Amino acid sequence: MATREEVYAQLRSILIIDFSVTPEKIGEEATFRGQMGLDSLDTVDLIYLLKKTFRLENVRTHDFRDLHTMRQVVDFLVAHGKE
Amino acid sequence: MLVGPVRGIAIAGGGVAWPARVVDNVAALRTVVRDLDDERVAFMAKEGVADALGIERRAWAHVPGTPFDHATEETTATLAVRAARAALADAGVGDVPLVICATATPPRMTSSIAAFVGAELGMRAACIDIRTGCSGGLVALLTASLYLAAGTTRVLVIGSETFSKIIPKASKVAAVTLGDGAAAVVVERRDEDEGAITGFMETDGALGVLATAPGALPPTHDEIDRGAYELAGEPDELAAVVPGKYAEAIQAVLRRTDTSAAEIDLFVPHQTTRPLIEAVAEKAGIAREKIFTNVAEHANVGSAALLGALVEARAAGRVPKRKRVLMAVVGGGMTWASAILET
Repeated sequence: MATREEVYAQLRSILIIDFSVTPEKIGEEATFRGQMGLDSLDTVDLIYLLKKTFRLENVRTHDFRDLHTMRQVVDFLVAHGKE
Repeated sequence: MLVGPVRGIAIAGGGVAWPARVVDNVAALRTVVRDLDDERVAFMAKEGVADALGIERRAWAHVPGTPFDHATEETTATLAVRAARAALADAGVGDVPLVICATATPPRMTSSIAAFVGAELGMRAACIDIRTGCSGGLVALLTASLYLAAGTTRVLVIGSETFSKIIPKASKVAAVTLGDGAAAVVVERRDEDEGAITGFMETDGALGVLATAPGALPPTHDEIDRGAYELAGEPDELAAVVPGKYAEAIQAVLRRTDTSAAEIDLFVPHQTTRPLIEAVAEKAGIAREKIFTNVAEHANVGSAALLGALVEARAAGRVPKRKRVLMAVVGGGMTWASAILET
């Protein structure tokens, strides 16, 4: 089971590599749609990558609906991920 | 500005026209994200577009990101002609004294699309273009009603768009939400008790920057290179403002006609996304089963969207006599409009 720090690092890496988010925009309270500049389809694409990376087999896209910040998503991945 | 009520008005016929190239969500996304694997794009297409927005496909005259081929690709004007022919045939009339055509995507820097339609149909009608973004179709219909009130016998009202030619190269959201097409209705004077339309239309030009192609005309190479003739704006700010404008427009026309939401028989809104349409209806107190939407088939076709939905609702038997049809739209400009059509 990955630590919270490892989960954070993996998510950060995905945002930089797959969504071209500049590192300085990434932080615990940074929002995906606002501060990191993802659009609505980017967030769905991000969910796809998170489901693959963290083997979120029983998690639906809908379950991410109220998660807006890095902190919220990292906490969710730590609670639900299998990696 | 309130319009009407204009009494003694009826829709005599309607028609629609769509480009032959039908593009599903995966193909639309592929015009922007060429390097992602198929499973990833398919997930985005289903979860992010079909499930989240209620859009399945759209028709495009042009494939965004490829060179324009003006010799073979359909234009806003040619689509307008096809829809106009269908509407005139449906109405059983061969000529009209006035043609009004709305668009946000004209095929020429100058000249009138309505005039092109008139020429193609062999008519010497008065021809007027209207530029009020996605609100254009309804604004054109309300404008036509004022001409009818002033004595004009019959008006051909058209909305036509080729959004595929201004979709930004990097925008997945624009690629999946925008389509091309045209819709037309023939409206005519009838006896005073046969039908009526009451409307509302308003504009805040200061909000125009929220959705616009900002490049100045005539085009410059620099502006073309930086994509200034593609659709741009502030989508998040736009999303925050739009619902309030819908509510304002709907309440204005309900008040004007002393109509309650429960008395509306059919709601034909601008066709944007299913969640926005349903949210607007819910806010207005209109039951979901009264909504007519075809956004799944065509996506947002701008000034043709509401007219196209009205034409398809009519063809489906959803607009019988003695009913109240509420229409509402918010578009670029920023413009917003509403109407209640009593059939």
